[in-house]
This record gives sequence, structure tokens and C-alpha cells, in this order.
Amino acid sequence: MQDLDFLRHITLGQYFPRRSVVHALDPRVKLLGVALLAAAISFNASYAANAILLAACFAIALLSLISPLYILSGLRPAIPFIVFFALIQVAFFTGPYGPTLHPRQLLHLGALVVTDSGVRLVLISVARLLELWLLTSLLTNTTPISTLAGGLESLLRPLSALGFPSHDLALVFTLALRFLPVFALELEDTMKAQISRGVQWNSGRLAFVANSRRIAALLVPLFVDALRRAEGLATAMEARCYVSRRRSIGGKGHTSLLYLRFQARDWVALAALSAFAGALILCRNAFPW
Amino acid sequence: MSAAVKAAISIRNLSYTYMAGTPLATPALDGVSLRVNAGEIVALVGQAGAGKTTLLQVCDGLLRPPATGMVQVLGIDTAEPQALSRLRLRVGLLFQRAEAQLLERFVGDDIAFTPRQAGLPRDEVRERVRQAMQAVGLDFEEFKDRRTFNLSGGEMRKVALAGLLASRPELVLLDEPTAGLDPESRTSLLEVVRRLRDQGATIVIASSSMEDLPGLADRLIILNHGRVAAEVPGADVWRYGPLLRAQGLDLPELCSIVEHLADRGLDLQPRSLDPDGIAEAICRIWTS
Repeated sequence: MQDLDFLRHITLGQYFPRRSVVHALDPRVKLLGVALLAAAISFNASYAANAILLAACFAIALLSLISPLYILSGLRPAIPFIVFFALIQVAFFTGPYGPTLHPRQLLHLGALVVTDSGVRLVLISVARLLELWLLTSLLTNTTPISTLAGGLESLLRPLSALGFPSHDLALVFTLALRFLPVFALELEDTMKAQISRGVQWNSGRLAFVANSRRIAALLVPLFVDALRRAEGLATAMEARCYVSRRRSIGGKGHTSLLYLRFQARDWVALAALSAFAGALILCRNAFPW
Repeated sequence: MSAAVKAAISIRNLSYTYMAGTPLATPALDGVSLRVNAGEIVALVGQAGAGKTTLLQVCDGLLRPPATGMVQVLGIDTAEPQALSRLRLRVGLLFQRAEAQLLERFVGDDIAFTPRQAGLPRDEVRERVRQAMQAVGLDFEEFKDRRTFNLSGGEMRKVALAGLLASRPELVLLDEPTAGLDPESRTSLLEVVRRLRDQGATIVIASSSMEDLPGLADRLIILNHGRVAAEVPGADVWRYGPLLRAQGLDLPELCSIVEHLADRGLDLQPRSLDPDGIAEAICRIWTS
């Protein structure tokens, strides 16, 4: 039988209320922290640096009082695709990668050439995926969406002087994240309704191949519903007097319940994250393996 | 309750938790045990979040019950994955969001979906579609080639109901079937439910509103926070006003009148809890 409780597998976009140090941080610190760590992840292609980064992500999850393994379980539906792309990369990537400047052949079978740089590429890519998934999930798991949007708007505010629509961008970001679980629920509803009418969704190892033909029948009602919802939301916002900040009188039409102010712990966290990410970026070539 | 009467649904000690094993685990059902006899109309009533929809979806095998509970529907154990597709051809579930249930581009094809899945011959499918559309008040010629997703909300619900009728289910599960319907559509839907009962189907209606239920259901099972709080006979529901109010529910207007008259010593004992039955009871007392 299918497990049709989809929300259980959606870890991104869900807020888990906890009394933790990470939850208490200013959203701007978390956003900047994620950006800094994401930069460190992008710059480092060595096993050692990625092991340190992965350990750091696990530590942040534990500090947030959220199980890192639970967050990673959100990646489960993507495993077939990850395995597929990993196999392609292992089988065909032969160039230098990261510290491996001179690739060594591990296996040669006709057109199939497996090198140590190909293996490195796959392992580092998987590690990066896990690290980025943990970081972005933790960002939404520890911060209510409206607070996150407030933080983003505040960070982008200096650009408003140049005509950049920071408020609108923050709103779009909020709505996109807010509706992620809603769409998961709607997908679940639609699938349940179709199964109850006799549609067979397969489960098992190669289920995604067999099910791909049925996805079209699922997407049409889902998109119809999404468009209706978007239209309804836009009308509701207009009815509740929402106007874009750019079009409001003097650009000052909006006030906010959210009052953001840096505290000592925010400065400490930002300094620690900057030092950690900065050190990893600067020493990226110092790791021998 | 006589054991000789066949059970359409038999549930023992069923619990269900959404997002189980996650930080947002939400219990929906907690130790529910109930039985619905074949040919009965049973209403599951309770406030929003009482577990009505979850219970219906467990009965259709859409949600996996934990190892502890036992759910048998039409004699089939829903824990057996192989039996579920067979079961679903015999069970019709009308969802609260009818539009989620529609999956074909044209109305006729959509209504024909389940009969086609059952492998019925073409002529029989066409006849079933015609009859189902007629039963819900949709003209066959006018609607069969209309695009499903261009219909209004009310029409979509009619198409979903026609799709359910076309499969001629033995067990019909209706999730808030009258919510948001105009009075005419509501009356016609209740008429369809009565006709299904006359044809021998077992019907379970989940509803957060008591309106329409007393004159229709044989029994009302009241759910509260995922537990069965009480069971009330449909014909005498007005005698249970205080109990229902304690569960956050209320009697419909007509039943309240009967209840208030009984409180003042005038026991109407109506034949049925509809305007006709109550008017007849008043006239009977008046003339005697």
C-alpha cells in the first residue's frame, strides 16, 4: 500500500517550534550564515573540508534540537535521481577535479572509464547536496516564514534606493515557501482521490519509471488548482488592501509587526560563522585530500 | 447488535497519526472501534479535526493503519495491499474537494473511468454513464463532451458524484457531501443518497453539520478528538440534545423544536424528522 502522508517527507519549508539557540537568532544572521556556508561549500572540493562542513551542518542541526537524520529523510524521494546522475558521472567523468589534478584509472571496460577524480566528483557532489539540504532546511525549520521574509527584506533594503523591489521579492519568497507544504497536501489529496477511483500507483524500486506515465494526469488538476489558488490569493490580498510598496504613497505605506534588532548572541554567531566560512575558503587549497 | 447482520465496515482499536515520527506528528484517530452494518446509513459527525476524513480514507485503504489496529471493509482486510484495488472497485469515496477527484479531460470519460478500470464492456459503460449523469441531474448529451476543468464548482461535484454512481459501489463514503452546495443541489444529492440506500448500498456520511442527517441516517457516530464519543440513533436524535451540545455540535432547527416541545411535556414522537413527519405528528395530536 502507498504511504500517502506526503507532508511527512517534506522537511523544507516547515517550521518546527523549539527553544534553541538557533531558533533565537536574528533571521538576518541565519540568512547571511547560510550564504557564507554555501560559499564555503562551493569553494571546497576536498574530502577533508567537506567532512568538516558536513560535521558543522550536523552540529547546527543538533543545536537547533532537530534531528539531522530526519531533515535528510526529506531527500529520500530524490534518491533514484541522485543514484542515476552519480552513475553517469562515475562512468564518464575523467578530467581533473579538485585536489586530484592527475586522474588515476580505477577501472577500464570499453567506453566505461572510472577514475579517482570521477569518484571524487560524485562523493563531493553528494556531500554538497547533503550540506546544502541541511542548511536550507534548517533555515526554514528554525525560522517562521514571515520572520524569514522580514529578515530578507531588511537585508535587501539598501538596494531599494536603487529601485530594487526588496519588499515584493521578500513577499514572493514568503509565498513560495509558504505554499510548499500546501501543494504537497494538494498533491496528496489528488493522488488519494485518483487511487480511490482505481488509478494504480506502483510502489517499489522502479516505481518512478512506471508512474511517470500517470504524472500527467496528476499535474493537470494540480496546476488548475494552483492557478485558481494564486488567483484567489491575489484577489484576497487586493481585497485586504495590499499594495506593492513601490506603488504605495511615498513608498512608506507598509508597517510591520516584526521588529528586528541585533543582540550580542547575533554578533557572536555572525562572527563565528564568518570566521569559519572565511577560513575554509581561504585554506581551500591547503587540504591534501 | 445481531451478529447475523453482515458488517460492511468493522474497525477495532484503530489509531492513526499524521506525520508520524516527525517533529510535527499529529494524532488523528485514537483507539477507534466501530461497526457499520450492510445496508445502513451511518453519519460520522464531529467538529473539524475530529478525525472523520481520516477514518473514511482508512476505510478506502488510502492511509496505512498501524500494526495494532484492524480494519475490515466488505470482508477485506485493508492491511493486505494486494486486495486494495479489488476493494476500491466496490467502494465509492466522494472527496470534500471534488475537483481533486476528476482526472479525465472530458466529462463522459471521467465518469466512465472506474467502470473502464473494472473492464466492463463498452455498451455497459456508456449505459452506466448515462444513468449516473441522469441521477445527478446532468444531461448526457449536453455534458458528456464538456471539458471537465472548465466546469463550475457545483458541476464538478456532480461529475464526481456521477463517477461514483457509475461504479455502482456496495459501500459509499461521502466526505462533507453537502458543504457549499446550493439548496437545490443539496436536495438532489440527498435524494441520490436515499436512492442508493434503496438499492441496498451501505452509506457512511462524514459531516461537521447536523443539518440533513437526522432524517437520513440510521445511526450517528460522534467523533471527538479522534475518539468515538457517543452513538445516537438517527430517528431519536432530538432526545440527545445535551449530549450533542457537550460535543460541540447542535441539533438542526426542526429537531430543536421537537426537543423544546418534549421539554414542555408534549412528546410528538414524529414518524420521521423532516417537515412532513413533524407536521403529521402535530396534526395527529391536534386532532386527537
